[in-house]
Amino acid sequence: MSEQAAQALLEGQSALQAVPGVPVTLTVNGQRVSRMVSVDQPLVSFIRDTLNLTGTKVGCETGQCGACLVLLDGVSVKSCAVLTVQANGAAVTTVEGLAQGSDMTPLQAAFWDNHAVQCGFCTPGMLVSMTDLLQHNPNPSEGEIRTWMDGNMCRCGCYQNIVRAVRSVAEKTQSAGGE
Amino acid sequence: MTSLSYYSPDSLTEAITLLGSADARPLAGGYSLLIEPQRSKLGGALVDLRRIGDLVGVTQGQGGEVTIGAMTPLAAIAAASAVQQSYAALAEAAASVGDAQVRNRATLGGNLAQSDAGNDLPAAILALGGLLHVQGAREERIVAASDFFTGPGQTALAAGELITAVTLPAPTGRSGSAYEKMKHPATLYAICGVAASVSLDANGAVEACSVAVTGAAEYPTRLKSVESALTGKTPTGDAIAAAAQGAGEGLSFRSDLFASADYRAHLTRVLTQRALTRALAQA
Amino acid sequence: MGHLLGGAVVGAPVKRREDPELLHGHAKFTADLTLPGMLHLAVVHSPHAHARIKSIDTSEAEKMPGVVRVFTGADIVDKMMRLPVIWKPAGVDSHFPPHPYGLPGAQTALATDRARYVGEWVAIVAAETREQAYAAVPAVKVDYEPLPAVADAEESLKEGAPLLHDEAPGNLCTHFPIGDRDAAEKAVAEAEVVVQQKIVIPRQVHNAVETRASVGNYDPETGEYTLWTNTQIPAGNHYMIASLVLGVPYNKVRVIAPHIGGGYGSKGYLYPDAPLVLLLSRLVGRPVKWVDTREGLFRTTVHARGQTHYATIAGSRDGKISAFMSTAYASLGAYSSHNGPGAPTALTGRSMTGAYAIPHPFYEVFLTYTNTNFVGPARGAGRMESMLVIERMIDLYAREIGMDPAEVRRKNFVTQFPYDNGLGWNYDSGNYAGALNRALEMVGYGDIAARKAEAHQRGKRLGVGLASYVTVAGVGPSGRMGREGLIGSTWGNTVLRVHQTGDVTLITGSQPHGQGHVTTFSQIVAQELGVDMERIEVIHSDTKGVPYAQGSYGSRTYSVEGASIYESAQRVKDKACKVAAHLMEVAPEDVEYVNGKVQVKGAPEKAMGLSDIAVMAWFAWNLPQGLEPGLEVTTYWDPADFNFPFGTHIAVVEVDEATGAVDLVRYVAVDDVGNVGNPGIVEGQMHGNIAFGLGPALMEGAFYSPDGQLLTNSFQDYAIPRASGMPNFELDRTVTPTPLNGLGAKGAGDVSEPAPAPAIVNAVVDALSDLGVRHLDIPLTAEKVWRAMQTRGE
Repeated sequence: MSEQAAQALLEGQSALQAVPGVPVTLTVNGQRVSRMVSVDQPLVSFIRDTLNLTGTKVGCETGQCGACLVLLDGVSVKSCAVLTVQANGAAVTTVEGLAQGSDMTPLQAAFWDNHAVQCGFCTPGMLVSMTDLLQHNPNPSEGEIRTWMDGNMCRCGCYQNIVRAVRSVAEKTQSAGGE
Repeated sequence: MTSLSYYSPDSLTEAITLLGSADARPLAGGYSLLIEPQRSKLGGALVDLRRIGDLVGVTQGQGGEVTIGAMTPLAAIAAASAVQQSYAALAEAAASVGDAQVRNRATLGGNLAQSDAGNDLPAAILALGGLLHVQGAREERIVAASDFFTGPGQTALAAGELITAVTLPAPTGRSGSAYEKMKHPATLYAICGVAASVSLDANGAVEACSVAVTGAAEYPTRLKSVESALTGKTPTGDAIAAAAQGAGEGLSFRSDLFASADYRAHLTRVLTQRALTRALAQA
Repeated sequence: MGHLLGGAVVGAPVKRREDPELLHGHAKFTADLTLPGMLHLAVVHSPHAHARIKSIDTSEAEKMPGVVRVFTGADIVDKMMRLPVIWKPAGVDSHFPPHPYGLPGAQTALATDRARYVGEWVAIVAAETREQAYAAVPAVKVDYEPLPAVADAEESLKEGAPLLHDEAPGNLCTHFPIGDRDAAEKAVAEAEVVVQQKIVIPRQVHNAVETRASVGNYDPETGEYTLWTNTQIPAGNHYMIASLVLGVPYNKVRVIAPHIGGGYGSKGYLYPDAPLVLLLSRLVGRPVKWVDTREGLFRTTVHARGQTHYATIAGSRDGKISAFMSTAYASLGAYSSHNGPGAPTALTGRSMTGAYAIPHPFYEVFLTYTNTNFVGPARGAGRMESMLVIERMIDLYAREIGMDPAEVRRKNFVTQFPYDNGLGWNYDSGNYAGALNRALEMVGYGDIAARKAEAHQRGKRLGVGLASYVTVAGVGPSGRMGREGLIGSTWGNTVLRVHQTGDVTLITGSQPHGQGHVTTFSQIVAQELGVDMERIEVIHSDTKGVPYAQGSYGSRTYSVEGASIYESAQRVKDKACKVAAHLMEVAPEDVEYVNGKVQVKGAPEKAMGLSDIAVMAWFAWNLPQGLEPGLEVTTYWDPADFNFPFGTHIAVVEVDEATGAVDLVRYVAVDDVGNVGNPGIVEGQMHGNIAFGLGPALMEGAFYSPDGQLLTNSFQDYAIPRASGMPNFELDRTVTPTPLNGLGAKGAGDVSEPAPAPAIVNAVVDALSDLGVRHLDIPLTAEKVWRAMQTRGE
């Protein structure tokens, strides 16, 4: 393939151009949404600014703090490091979509029961992260929870109560499974 | 604002074609390209490799060798039983990368091709004698890991080429491997990471030994003097310690706020000894 | 009053009322707000530590897509005043750039002729979207003439150092001494044992996960300015913005603090953006919004700590300390923050002797200007520095005389209360040995030698370190603060209103940002008035309608604002008793308020419930002579003095003999904050204190190059603690109530933050002591510890 052929393909109609935008369709918290987006728009901006789902937070934009975690096709990712166009066709779950309405998931309820929230800014990312953990490891040890939490910074220092909350969910799951 | 285009080909052929353009670059996990300040400076064309199904998976061949697709997420590599059983150094290196979300999305190919000297997988792939499948517009070629990392921020990849997979040769006889790392407290990259792979002969002497460092030196590299010092020897604690003392000879080391070059050189020796000790314990 | 606190509500770990909206992601933080027609701002920062600004060309930037206007210092200099400094250390000369009202001055919102630190705001772009605003920043062309710069406090005082302000000769803001220097020097000269040590405490960056943000809106019809910003002090911002920066009527400004993503002190300031978004909204005729980046935060949100101490401890061979002296150097930054002098002068200086009765204390600090970001309090403000110094010096002294560090502490603890520490604090109550003994018991102090031997088998050096702290809390007695130099007040303020339905509204000037005020305050009201928590609403953080009060900082909320709520409840009960006695036709002294009812003493069947009393007070058909209608009180409550929480923390570390890596393997904390409102919340605050305190001990530090370039600009080069680096903290509390308020409560929010750094350093030095290592400065990175092992402390 020559440089010319590559250029021809780049300029061809299969290309998605940055301006004025490209169409994407995502399923966000169970709702299908279709929008025109710019190629460089990160997923976190699409969620917050385009869809006005402001539960997902921005803390650093360098992939460390974890405030922007969402589930992308069921897997936790940092939505500051994913382009919206990359999520075309995917299912996104944000903190607002973890539970229906005013219900709480067992994990959310456990956070509440265990004083695992202080300022609440890291909480959405923590919930998303721990939801992902419990999906594939329903009975994580304290050490496994702490290691999994490396992608979430909590400057209030809630870590210990979050660990306790996750363990309490695991224990309930185990005792329910054992019956 | 520079203009940015995005392509998401579903075949390798199309991806290679797209990457034939001078301003096109491949996009894998995204954790180095799409974070700030890099993201706002992006221009040209991004060729996302995510939809190319052929590039994902861990498969064991007839001869016992294992081939891992370049777009396989690190979490899947760390969890793959074939990797855990025969290539502990790789499983450990993959499990030590960044955090859970990075491991969910970052890929084998990205970790090898990206130029950051603190990436973990290069050490494991070097020590395990990985063979990189490299696809270009004209040909597919196989590059040995030891020929792949050529300098600071440099690899053997030519413009327009992609890593498509890595094959790890089948382990022979009594063998073992391990990865030891000191994490950078901020980035969680390796301040120093050392992978060791060893096999023993029928008499318990070291038949083959391969050791590599990442993060500490200017680029990922084998520690040949350690390898030659130990090969053929009975791997006593003293022999391991003596061999590890030569780790890093002749290399120049990186330096930052958390770890000076001297300290990285020291860590290279310490972690070499530890990685060898654990690798030998498995053999 | 302790009997009131044994009930079911106060003192119970009630689940937080705040949590559901946070757990659902519905709570709105400042960056989540959008107003119709809103513009977005991006800041042009100085890349130079010190430079003359020769010219600024905005023309290219103003042609960029979406850009509405670019503002420079010249555009605003005649429209807003320099930011004020409201802390002028008392009793000493001090030097600041002048504020037009004769106050000490801080910085201008945008630099005009000179930039004095990396990150200083030089221009600001207003555009239709945030992305467009940021994209235009590089197009603003600033012509700088770089000038020599100085970043270190001691260097800044040397002959020939670059000078920052004409008003501050030699870069000295102030020299602040306290205690009797002559007496202390004499005691040192006469002592059997004298130990000296230089101790360097680097800067810490608070790094709330939420960066700072402001939204401003000016309404030309009403002339009203509305500011939404993540400030810990909405009323303080309101006052300073209206009166001291914009010069507009107080009642034309409204400040609203939405949910706040952590502060730790960093949001308790007046920053340039707060008045600036209001002014720019007026100038462009649209609402404007600014949300900082992480890099911007590192450069221009306040830093903390940054002190160098030269300390001396003196005493006898048998472990009795006779004198303690420290000379400290600290930088305010390029300008003072609005309360910049407070931490290194009063908070550090007056706390210098910690938990010990030391007859001859002396402290002095040289407070200077350097080409760095400004410095101010962080969680553990000023006291982290003093506790690190005194607790290190105690250990050095113990080692010098060959005595167990726990024993030296016991021998010198303050035991008689109240206690005047000779540096300006008056300790209210305490049982320091009680907390120490409990912590030693929890950690198994007697088994340490065996555990060291066991660790050695694994290639680890085990060390144990103690820190017994006392930290001033409950800011504060207003007169006392005024005498210290604060140009402001610090009382608590509450409106408590019982509606005619019996529902209750509590309006507080306190400002919650994660501490669960709504829950704890509701608990006080529920307990005192006998009302269900669900019937109590708590209004806060909006200066329109909320009393002028002080916000949240310095562990003041529960022991000052909480105490004012407690007093309000007593006054509501008094009035309810008067109304009910009148209606029941008995003498006021014959009734009592019991669990939501006023009942006749000895005849509890004769009673009126609170809602019945409230509706009758509202109807006002039949009230006692002279009694006003309604059941509402406003309370201004000024504490008689500060309170002094205390405790002992013990760190157990294992140092990797080959790499120097420090593993914090156990952490025991015994704290005493008097009576507590909600132990679940207090426990969380204690976890937070430890997490915030262990960061600087092990990994944190903001560092400048000698010429003022900030080397730590992002989470890529500044580490903060993650969950995997911490053990499960082992906590206990002792309870020594304060006599100073009706709750018997002391502060809690930041009081134990100073303990982890000295506990951890003492533990690591203990682990390395047989190598001859006497002292290590924080942060204890693996390399630093490894080098100490190589050089044996030389």
